Amino acid sequence: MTPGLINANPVVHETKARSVRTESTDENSVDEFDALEIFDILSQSCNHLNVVSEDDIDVDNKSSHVRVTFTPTVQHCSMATVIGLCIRVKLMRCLPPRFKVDIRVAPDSHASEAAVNKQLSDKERVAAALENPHLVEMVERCLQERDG
Amino acid sequence: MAGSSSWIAHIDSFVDADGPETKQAASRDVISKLLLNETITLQQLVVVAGKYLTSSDNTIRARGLLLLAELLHDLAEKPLEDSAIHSLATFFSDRLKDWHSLRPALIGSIALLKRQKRVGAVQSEDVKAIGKSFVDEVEVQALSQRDRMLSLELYECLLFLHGSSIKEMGFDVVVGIIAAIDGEKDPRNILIAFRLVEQLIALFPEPDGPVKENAKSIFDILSSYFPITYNPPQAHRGITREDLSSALLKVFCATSWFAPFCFTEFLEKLSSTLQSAKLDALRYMGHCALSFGPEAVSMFFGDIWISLKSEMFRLEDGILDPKDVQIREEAYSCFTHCVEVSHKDRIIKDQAMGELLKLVLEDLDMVYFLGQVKMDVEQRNGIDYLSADSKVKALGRILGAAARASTAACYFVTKTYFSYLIPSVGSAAESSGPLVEAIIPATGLRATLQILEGANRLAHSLADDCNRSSDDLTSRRWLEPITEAAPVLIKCFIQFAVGGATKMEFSTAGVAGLQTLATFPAVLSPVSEEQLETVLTSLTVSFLDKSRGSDVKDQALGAILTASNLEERTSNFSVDEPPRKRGKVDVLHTVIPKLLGAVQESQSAEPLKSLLHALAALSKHREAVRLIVLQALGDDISSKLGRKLVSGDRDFELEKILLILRSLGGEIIPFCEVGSIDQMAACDVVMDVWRTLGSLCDGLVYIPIDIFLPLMTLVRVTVQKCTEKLQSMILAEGLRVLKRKSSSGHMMTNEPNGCEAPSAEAVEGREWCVALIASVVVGLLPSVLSAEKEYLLRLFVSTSIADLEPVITDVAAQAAASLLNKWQEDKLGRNQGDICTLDEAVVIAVEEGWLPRVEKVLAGNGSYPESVEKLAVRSVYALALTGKALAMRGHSRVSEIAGLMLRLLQSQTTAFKRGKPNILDSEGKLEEASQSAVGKIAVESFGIIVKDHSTFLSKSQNATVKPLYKQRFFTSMLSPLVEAVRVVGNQPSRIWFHRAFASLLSGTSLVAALTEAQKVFPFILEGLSTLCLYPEDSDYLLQMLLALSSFLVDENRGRSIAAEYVQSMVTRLIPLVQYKSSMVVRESALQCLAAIVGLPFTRVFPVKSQVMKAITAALDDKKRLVRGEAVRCRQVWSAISSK
Repeated sequence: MTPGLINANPVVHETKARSVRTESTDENSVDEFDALEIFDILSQSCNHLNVVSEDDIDVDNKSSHVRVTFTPTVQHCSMATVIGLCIRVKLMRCLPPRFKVDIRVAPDSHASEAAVNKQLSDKERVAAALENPHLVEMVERCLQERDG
Repeated sequence: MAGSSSWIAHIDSFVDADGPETKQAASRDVISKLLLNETITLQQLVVVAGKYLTSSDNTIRARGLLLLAELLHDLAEKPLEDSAIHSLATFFSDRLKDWHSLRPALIGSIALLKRQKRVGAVQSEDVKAIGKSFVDEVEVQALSQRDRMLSLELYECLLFLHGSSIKEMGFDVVVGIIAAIDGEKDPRNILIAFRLVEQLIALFPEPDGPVKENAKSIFDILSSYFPITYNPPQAHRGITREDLSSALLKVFCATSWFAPFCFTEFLEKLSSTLQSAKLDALRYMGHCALSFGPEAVSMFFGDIWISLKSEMFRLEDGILDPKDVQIREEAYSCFTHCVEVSHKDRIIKDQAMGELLKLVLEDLDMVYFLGQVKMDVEQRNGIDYLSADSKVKALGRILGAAARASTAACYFVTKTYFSYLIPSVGSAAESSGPLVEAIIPATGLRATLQILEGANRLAHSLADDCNRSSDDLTSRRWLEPITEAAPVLIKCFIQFAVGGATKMEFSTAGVAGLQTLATFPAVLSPVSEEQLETVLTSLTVSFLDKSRGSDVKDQALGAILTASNLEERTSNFSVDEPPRKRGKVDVLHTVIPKLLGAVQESQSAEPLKSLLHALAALSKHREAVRLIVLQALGDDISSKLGRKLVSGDRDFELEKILLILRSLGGEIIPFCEVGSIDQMAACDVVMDVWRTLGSLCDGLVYIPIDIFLPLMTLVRVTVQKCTEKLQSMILAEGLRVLKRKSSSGHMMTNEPNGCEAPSAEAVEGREWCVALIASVVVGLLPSVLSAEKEYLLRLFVSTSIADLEPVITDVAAQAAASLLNKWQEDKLGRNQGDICTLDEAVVIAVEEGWLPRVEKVLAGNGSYPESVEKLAVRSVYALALTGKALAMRGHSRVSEIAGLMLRLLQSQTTAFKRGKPNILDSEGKLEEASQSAVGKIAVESFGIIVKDHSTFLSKSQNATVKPLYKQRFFTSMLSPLVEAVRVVGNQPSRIWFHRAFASLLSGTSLVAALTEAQKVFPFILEGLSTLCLYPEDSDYLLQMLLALSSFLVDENRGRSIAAEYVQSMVTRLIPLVQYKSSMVVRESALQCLAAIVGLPFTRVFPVKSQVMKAITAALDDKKRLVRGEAVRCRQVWSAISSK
C-alpha cells in the first residue's frame, strides 16, 4: 500500500563549498545571529536536496524574527509541507525561544503555494501535526544528521 | 563401527531443510572431521547420501548436493584419487543443468576446480565438460546476486586456474562470459567481471581470436559503466567508486582493440556538461593512449586535439571552481600523454615530428599566435601589459605541456618556438640598445615560461629515473634549442627581475624564469657555468633590491632556496657518480657570500631582519651553508659587541649585533647537530663572547637587559647540544671570566674550591655574568659538573634572592635547581674530601638559602612588609623548581617542599579569615585576600612541579628524569590536599586548595587521575562549585572541566564513577553554562553535559528537564561557538526521551 514516490529519483546535489568563517573567541564581542548560522543549522540535515540556500534566509536579530523561504524539488511536491515542518522543528530546537519563525514556499515554486504557506504558519495545525506519531517519526528521520 | 549410524544421522540432520541452521552446520562439521581423519571415505558418504542426491524432491536434492559441495570445499587440502575426482566432476557438470540445485552445483564445481595438482586436480577433459555444461545451461543474468557472484567466480576459476584447457573452448567461453556479465549491476560482481574480461584478453591475444572478433560487444558492455557513477553511503567501508573506476581503467587499457571505440566514447563524454564525466574521460584517455601505443591512437589525434583544444580554451575563461582547476590539470596531463605517445620510438630527426604535435603546431590559432609573437619581436613592441587573452594563456600552457612529454617533443617545441624568437632577438642583443626589454614580447612571455618549466620537469624526471637508459642523459641534443636561446633568455629575465620593469607581474615572471633556468638538474642543464652564476647573482640582487615589493623578494628567496635544496639533494645522491660538471658555481659559493656581505653593509633594521631570515632558511637544511654562516656571522660580532659595551653607544651598530645574536640563537644554532662540524663553529661563537666579556677592562661594565637576553639564549642553545668536552670548555671559560671580575672589581676572593657563600652585594654589578653562567649550567651534562658545583650552587642561591631583575633571579633559580637535579655523588659517599653530597647541597640551597625567607612570611601571620613578600615569592619559585628537580630524580625531600607549600596555603586561609570576619559585607577585602602574591605562587608551584618546561629541567637540557615521577607526585599530594580541605571548614577559604589542585591537574596525565578516581572525582566536583566564585580563576576552572570530561569519556573506570554523581555534576555544571568570564568554560561545561547523556539511563533521565532548561538559555549565548555547542548538547538530551 505504499504510494509511489512523486520524485522517486531526486537529483542529489553536491554541497557547495562555502566560505568558512573563523569564529572569534574574544569574550567581549557579541556574535549576532545571521543567515549563515541559520543555514548551518539547516544544512546539517536537509540541505543536500538544495531546498534552502543561504540567500533564502532573513534574520532580524533585534526583533527576534527569522524568515526561511524554501524551494520544493518539484512543482507538485507532496512533501512540501513535511519539508516545511522539518525546517520549523529544526529551528524550534536550535534557536532560542525568543525567535518567531516564518516559513514559506518560494513564490511560483509550488502548485498549491498559498495552501502550503497557510498550513505552515498555522500554529494549531503545526502543534497537531507534531502530536501525530507517524509525522513525528518522519520528521525525526529527515532531521537525522546526514551521516548518522 | 559404533559411529556408523551416528554419522548417517548427521547426514539426515543436515539434509533436513527445516532444522535449525546451527545444527546443520554442526552436523556438516562432524562429517567433515570424519572424512579428514579418514574414519569414513568419500565413497561411503556418496553411497549413503545417494538417496538424497538423486531424490525427486527438489529441496532434499539441493540439500544433499550442498552437503557434498561443502564437504568438497573442506577437503581442498586432502589428496583424492583421480577416478574419484573424475566422477565428481562429471556429476557436478551434469548437476549444473538442474535449476533447483544450481547453487550447490556451483559451489561444488568451484571447490573441484580450485583443487591443486599435488592433491589431485581436475583433468583437462573434465574442466571442459564443466565449462561446456556451464556455458550451455546456466543463464547467469537471470540469477540472484549471490548465484551470479558464484557463477562469475566459477568463470574466474576456469580462466585463471585452467586457462589452457578453457582456451580450447574458444568462441564459446567468450560468448558465455559476455552473456554472463552483460547488464551486471552489483558492484561486487562488476569488479569480478572486469577481472574476467582482463584475463580473457590475456588468454586470447590472437588478432583473429574470439576476443578480437567480439571486441565491439565486450566494449559495449564495459562502456555502459563509463563514467562510473557510484555513491556508496558515507560510512560505507566496502568497494568505493575509485576501486571500480581504476578497475575499469585497467580493462580499457588491456588491449588496443578497444581503441576504435574507446576514443569515440571518451570524446563524447568530454563534451558532456557533467564535470566528473569530463574528469574521468580525460583521465582514461591519457592512460589508454599510453597503453595502446601510437599505431592504435594515431587516427584519433585529430579529434583528440580538437576536443582538448576547445576544453583548454574554455578553461582559461573567468574564475574556475576547484573542480574546473582539477579538470584543467587533467586535460593538460592527458595532452602530455598523447604527445608522448605520438613520439614513442621516434628519435630526434627533423622530419620525425609526432602527428599530434604537428597538428598542434600547424593549428591556425597556434600559427597566428606564433606569427603574432614574431611580429611583436620584429616591431619591438614594448611590454606594458601582460595579455589577458584566454587563447594566448591556453596556447602557452599547451606548448609547456607538450614540452614536458618527451625529449623529442621538447626538442621540436623549443626549436619551433625559439625560431620565432631567436633570429630577431639575436640582432637586438647585438645592438644592446634600450629596446632590449622588448626581446620577449608580452604575447610570448607566458609561453616562454611554460615551455622552460615543461623542459625543467622533463629533465628532472629523466634525472630521477635511475632505470632510464643513459641515452637520454648523455644525448643532450634535445636541450640544444634551449641552450642556444639561453643567453638571450637570461638577459631578458634579468631585465625583468632586476632592471627597470615597473610592473609587478613582469618582475614575478622574470624571477620565475630565472628560477626555472637555475633549477635544472646538474647533469641535464642547458645553461653554462658562467650563465648559472649570472642567474644566481641576479636572483640575489633581486632579493636584495630594496625597491622591490615583498612578493618579488619572497619569490626570489624561494627560487634560491629551491636551487639550494636541489644542490643538497644531488650532492647526497651522487656519491659514487663522477664529480659534478659544474665547478664551484652554486648557491653556496655564489649567493651566500653576497648575502653575508649585505649583512655587513646593511644600514637599517628591516632589510637586515629579512636578510638574516633568508640566511637562516638557507642554512636550515644544509650543514655546509650553516657552517659558513656561523663562521661569518660569529666572526667579529663579539669584538664589536665589546667595543659597543665599553663605549655605551646605542646606535644601529648595536641593534645589528643584537639582531644577529637573536638570529643565531633562535634560527640557526638550534638546527646544528651534536658533534657536527658546525657545532664547533657555534661553540667558537660562544667562546668568543666569553673572551670578549673577559677582556672588558673593568668588572663594573653594565650590560643592559636587552643585550644579555639574546646572549643568554645563544649560550643556552649552544651548550645544550655540545659534547661533554666543549661544554666543560665553555663552563671553564665562563668561570674564569667571573672570577677575574670578582677579584678585580671587588674584594671578594674566591679560591677555586672556595665554598663561601657569595653575598648579595658581591653579585651586584656582574649579575649578567652570573646569568650567563646560569644559562650554561642549565643545559650541562651531569658529568661536566665537578669541583665547582658547590661554589656555583651558593652563587645561584644567593643570586636567586638578590634584589635584581626577575629575569636574572629566575634563571639563577633554574640553574640552582638544575644543579641539584644533576648532582652526581659517589656511591661511597664523600671520599673526595671537599665535594659535598646531594643531601648537604639540598641543605645549603633550601635550609640556608630559601627557607628562612619563606618562614618569615609564615611567622608574620598575614602582615609583612612588601620587601619580605617579594623575597618570599622568589624563594617559593626557587623552592618549587627545586621540588621539581628532586621529584624528577626520585628524591624524597620533594615531599617536604610540597608540605611547605601546603603550609603556605594554610596561612593564606587563616589570613583570609582574619581579613574578612563577615563574608557578607566587604567584597573588596575578599578580593584582596584572595589575591595574595605568596598564595598565588604557592598555588602555581604545584603546576611548576608537574609541568614540562622547554628551557630548563627537561630531557633536551640533559636533566635526570625518572619515569612516572609526575604520577607519583600527584598521588602523594592527593590525600594531603583532601585532608586540608576537610580541616578548613568554611567554603570560600578552601579556594586556595582547590586552585592548587587544579594547578596540579594541569600537568598530570589524566591516567594518574583516573587511577585515583574514587578520591579525585568528588574533589573535582567540589572544586567546580568553589572556583566559579572568582572570575580570575577561569583557567583553573577550565582545568577542572577538562579533567571531568576525561572521566566522562573513559569507558573503563571513569564512567562508572561518574554515574554515581549525575545529580551533583548537573547542579555544578548548570551555573557554569552561564559563566560570564570565559566562553571556553561555557563551551566545556556544555560538552560535559552532553557527555553525561552516555551514562545509565535511569540516572540521567531524572535530571533531563533541569538540563534542558539550562541549555535552552544557552541557545541565546552571545558567542556563536557556545550556541553551536548548546545545539549539539540539546540534540543529544532531547533524544533520550523516546527510550
